Amino acid sequence: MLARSAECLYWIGRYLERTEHLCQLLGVQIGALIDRPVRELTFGWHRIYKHLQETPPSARHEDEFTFSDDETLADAFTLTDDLTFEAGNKYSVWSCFAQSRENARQVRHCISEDMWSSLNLSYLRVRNATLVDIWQDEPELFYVDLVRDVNTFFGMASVSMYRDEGWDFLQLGKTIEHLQLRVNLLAIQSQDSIPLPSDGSRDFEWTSLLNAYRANGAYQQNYGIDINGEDALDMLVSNADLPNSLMYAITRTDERIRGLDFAPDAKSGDSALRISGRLKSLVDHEWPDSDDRTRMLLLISNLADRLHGQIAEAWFNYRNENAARQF
Amino acid sequence: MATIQERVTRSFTNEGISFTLYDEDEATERIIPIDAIPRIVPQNEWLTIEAGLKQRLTALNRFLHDVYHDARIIKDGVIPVDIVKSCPQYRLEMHRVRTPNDIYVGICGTDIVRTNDGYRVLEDNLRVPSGVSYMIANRRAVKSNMPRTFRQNHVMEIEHYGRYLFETLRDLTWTQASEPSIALLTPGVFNSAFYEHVFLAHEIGAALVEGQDLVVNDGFVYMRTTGGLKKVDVIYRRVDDDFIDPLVFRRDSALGVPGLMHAFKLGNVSLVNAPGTGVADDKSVYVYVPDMIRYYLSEEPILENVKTYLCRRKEDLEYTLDNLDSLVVKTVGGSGGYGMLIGPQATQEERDSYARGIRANPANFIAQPLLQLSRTPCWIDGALRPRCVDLRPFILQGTETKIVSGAFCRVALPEGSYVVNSSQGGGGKDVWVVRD
Repeated sequence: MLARSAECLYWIGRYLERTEHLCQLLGVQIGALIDRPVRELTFGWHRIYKHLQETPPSARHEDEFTFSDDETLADAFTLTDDLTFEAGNKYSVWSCFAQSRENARQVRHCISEDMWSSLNLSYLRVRNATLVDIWQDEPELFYVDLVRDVNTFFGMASVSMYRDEGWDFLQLGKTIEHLQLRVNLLAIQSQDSIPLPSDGSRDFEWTSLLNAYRANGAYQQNYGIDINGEDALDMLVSNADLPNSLMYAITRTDERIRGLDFAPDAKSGDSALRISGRLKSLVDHEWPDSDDRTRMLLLISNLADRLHGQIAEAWFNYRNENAARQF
Repeated sequence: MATIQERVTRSFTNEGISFTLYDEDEATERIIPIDAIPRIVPQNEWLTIEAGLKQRLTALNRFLHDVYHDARIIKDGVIPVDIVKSCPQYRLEMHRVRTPNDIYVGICGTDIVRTNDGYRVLEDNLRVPSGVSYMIANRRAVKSNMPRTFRQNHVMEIEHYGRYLFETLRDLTWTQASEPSIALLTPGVFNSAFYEHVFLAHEIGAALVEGQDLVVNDGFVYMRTTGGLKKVDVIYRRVDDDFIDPLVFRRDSALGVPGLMHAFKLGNVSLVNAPGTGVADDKSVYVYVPDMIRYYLSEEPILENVKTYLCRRKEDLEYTLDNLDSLVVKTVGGSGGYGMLIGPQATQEERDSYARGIRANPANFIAQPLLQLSRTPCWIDGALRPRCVDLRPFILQGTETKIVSGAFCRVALPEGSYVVNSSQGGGGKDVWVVRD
């Protein structure tokens, strides 16, 4: 497969996963506006921006977040708009979704018509939407619908896409993005530097995270109805049966990389394999006994970033001099 | 009819069948307008068109081989040397360069209009003709929304165009391997015809490459794949001559491949169409195509040209300047309907301004009478209305010449307009060649 086409497919997977991830977080956050205390809302916005390594519009020229209780509610509209429709924000839902469609447009010949049609129809529906339109009614539904569209795309892919390298790179992009976003989010959640409320509402933050990850049921099965941050973190990192856990993403990523053909840049390909193995080993063996879980999460995050770089070097951006030739 | 039109239009929107329009500030992805009412062409008329087009392309390929080798047609005085040598599309770099089967133009789109005197060839597009994807998309949309009418009218199929194209490209490789490695070279996603490039790559199973995806090494062309560098046998290029190789043509081109012409000249890769074919679709050379047919094939042209005045000739220049109010004047290298004067629709001021340009450089202009183009019914604003149309059939020439029985029918949608180009508000409609 053409390296650039493979890269486009990889980025379709990444951007759609990012779209879904943002929609899930924003859906929970918007839902919380109805009845949650201001400090929880503040924490929610903080968590979203911080794990994306972005700053909210009001703090674009400042080093630190400057949320105050008074500002949070008043800013909800602005922040939601920034994270949903702002074309200038590369992490807005719209930007990510439009990028996935742009990548798909470039490789229409590599994906099925069903995949393209489902993505394009969704794009046509979303492109003219504004926050004013959705804010008046039930804004959460916008995110629910878009998550459903993303899942429809991947569903179409699973039933109509030939299982060649294109499929592998689409899935690889999805799992790598899943891993990077979620490990960053968990690292922010578990970091002491975040101003946590002292009245027990921290459990709400874990509850909302479990909600966003559709992991509440799994948590109850494993730990009961009382939400405990440590247990929630442990499950979201290391539970191999939970589709939104880091362990699940790492295992799928490792399988995908090992399933790919020999990389044109063999050195980077080997490095990708080693990093992938190291990630598995970290979560499998070192996580359970780790005393400093934040440090461990940052290490996973760092390795995930390096893994992405090595994949790009090995299969997409390799040097011609290093590559084997086929006649 | 309104329901059918709405469904057909919606299917184009949903599937993103688009082209890109550019203005000074931005690019707009535009859904190409489609009219659901097909244009009907009886099979007996089509057979004449088909024979005429095959004859014409055969002569044009003979001309291209000749003009880049011995130039007999010039030596024999059939075509003036200055017309050929002054053409900007005449490429010295192609001198004595051979192509597989001596075919330079493998893919041709010829514009035909129907006048009161019958079908006439308006122009040949021998470089990177576009529109074939819309021909097929129009057919699919109309057929699926008018299935019974389609079945009842014994319409000839066109959807095997992709197979014909693949076979033609295979014929035009030097090795003629059964499964050649084919790349379709596109300028990229910002090109106005990018949808078509994707469509065709899918139809023929080609890799859709940009210049950055290809590399020339030891005189061979390779594409960058996830398995390493893979040798390319034939490139269906949708990039203009000027941009295909910065070492030979425009140095500032970022769309091409350094060294591509070297590999081509060595016979290690085929380029379809070959560079330099534009010399045969120059509007000055167009006048001589009937003479080419007589010269190379010893036959009379089956399809005639539109009467054309070459402003480089003194008498034609005088006639043009004296009759600007009844003529259409075009620049010889123009395309897309840009830069032309439609005399009867222009103001006196516009005609005077254009006349100054003609006097300054007569060789750059040709003139033709304003044709009374045939009109067909179109569904516009909820009613049937007549609109001017043309036809662009696509002719493929490898070891044999092939045409599917259909064409891209371009429609001048604005009332009173004669300009059918998509870039200027034109739309399309399906063409039904109906069996007798």
